[in-house]
Amino acid sequence: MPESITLKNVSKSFGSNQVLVNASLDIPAGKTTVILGGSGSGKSVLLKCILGLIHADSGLIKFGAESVLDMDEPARMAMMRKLGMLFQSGALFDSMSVWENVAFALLEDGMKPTEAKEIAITKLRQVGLRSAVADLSPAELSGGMKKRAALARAVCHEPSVIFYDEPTTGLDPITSDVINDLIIQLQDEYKATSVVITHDMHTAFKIADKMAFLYKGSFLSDGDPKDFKDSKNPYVAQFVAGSAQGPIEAAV
Amino acid sequence: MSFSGALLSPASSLGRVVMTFVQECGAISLFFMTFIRHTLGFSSMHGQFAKQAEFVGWQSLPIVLLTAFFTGGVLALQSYAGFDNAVLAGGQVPKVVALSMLRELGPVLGALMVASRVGSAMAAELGTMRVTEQIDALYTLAVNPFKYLVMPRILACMTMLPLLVILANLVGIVGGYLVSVHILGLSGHMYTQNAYAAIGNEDVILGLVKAVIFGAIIGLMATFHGYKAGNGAAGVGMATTRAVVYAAVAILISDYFITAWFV
Ligand SMILES: Nc1ncnc2c1ncn2[C@@H]1O[C@H](COP(=O)(O)OP(=O)(O)OP(=O)(O)O)[C@@H](O)[C@H]1O
Ligand SMILES: [Mg+2]
Repeated sequence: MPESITLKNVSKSFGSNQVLVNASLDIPAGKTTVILGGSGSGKSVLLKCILGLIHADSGLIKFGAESVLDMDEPARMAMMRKLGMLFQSGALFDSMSVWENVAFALLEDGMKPTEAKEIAITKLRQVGLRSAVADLSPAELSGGMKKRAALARAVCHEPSVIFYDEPTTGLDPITSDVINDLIIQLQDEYKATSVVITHDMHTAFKIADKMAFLYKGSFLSDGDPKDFKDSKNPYVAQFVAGSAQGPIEAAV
Repeated sequence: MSFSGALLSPASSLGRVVMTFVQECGAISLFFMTFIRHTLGFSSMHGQFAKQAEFVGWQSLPIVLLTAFFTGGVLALQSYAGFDNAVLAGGQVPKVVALSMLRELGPVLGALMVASRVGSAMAAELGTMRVTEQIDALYTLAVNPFKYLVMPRILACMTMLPLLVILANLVGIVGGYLVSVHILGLSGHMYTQNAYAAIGNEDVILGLVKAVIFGAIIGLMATFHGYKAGNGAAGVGMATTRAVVYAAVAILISDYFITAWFV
């Protein structure tokens, strides 16, 4: 049973830099929620707050029935077992081969290496990587290959909640679409709760059941993707259209 | 600047230094307490310990033994020069070499070599893992990075340094022997006998206690500064420098206090 996630008035600053300001959002169970927002608007920080990797200053974050900010260590580990996270940077372990990265959670659970490697190779194929890639080290992969290997690692233990921080950034349009289909397929197959950060409007509208727009640390708008397409909100409209003209000023 | 401002500023900057020092010490102690807590709940060491033990122990062997060998030789040369006649030197040189190696130079020089070789590498590795989000990734894969990365490294340092030091002591005494016999012309039989007679239990224990504590210091400084690294490549560089410098200073200061406590 996948978990829903609730954010209420979550705030986080780094020194004088207020990154999240009373961000509130409901992320429904078993659905794909896409978070949109400009560069530096706090999307990655928001994901890390949900995961407890960054401790939010105030507000309420619920993962299923549990409050993330009040979790003790065993509860946090239990939560981590249920989720998969694709980092924006990939964050592959560079001291291990690609397949050891992908199968990391399985190996840690005590699965036999031969068995784990087979599963890892299957997952690598799903993200469009040849099995020969399995024995390479992450340093030998291209940027897009790293991203896909990291994606394979994030979903290898079949988590019920999956976070994707820009899964298609840096990929060619065809591979991007393969990844989109994979996200949809994972969501159909395991009824996983998916949270996807993306700048890619094609991806966003293809996979989203729900959309939310983060601007300067709070959610300006959230709801049905159809409403986003012809949104009356000038900020959202400008972002979706990808236009330089409008209320949002591009950081120069 | 006003007159009183000029008077106050040295005091206030000293105050800042002291505050920073106290804060650092506090943070390091907290980190160490977490280490102790996790060690007691020993469960998941993941074979990481063996890997680290090989790195800290086995791979440090050549450099530690090489320095020990020449240290023993130098001790023999220097102490010989201090004696008026060869008869006195024949009795005393082996004693000086053996006791200096066991009580002081074996542990201290061994620790400094390991700190520069292992401490810097560990801090750089953990620092890189921190800034490239690999430590965060461990967390999301339900592995406690403290247990997986920090504990095995500190434990490896604490267990491997004493072993290295035992071998370094032996090799240092052998170095002293070779210099005494082949360069200074002392009797080899006398050397062995006098060196052996000079060593007491407490010398061995003191050396090993030091080695365990120095090992803990090296592992702690390396993992602490690596784990808390920030700010990209520059942050990793800083963590590496800090790991080595803090460890070296802490080793030399604690050496004094351990010795003073034993004597
Ligand atoms: N660990 C950190 N320490 C200090 N400031 C941070 C940290 N992480 C992020 N920030 C700051 O938080 C703000 C938001 O960063 P974040 O990475 O969440 O942006 P983002 O929305 O993911 O952008 P992008 O689309 O470019 O990935 C930035 O101003 C950044 O400088
Ligand atoms: Mg980001």
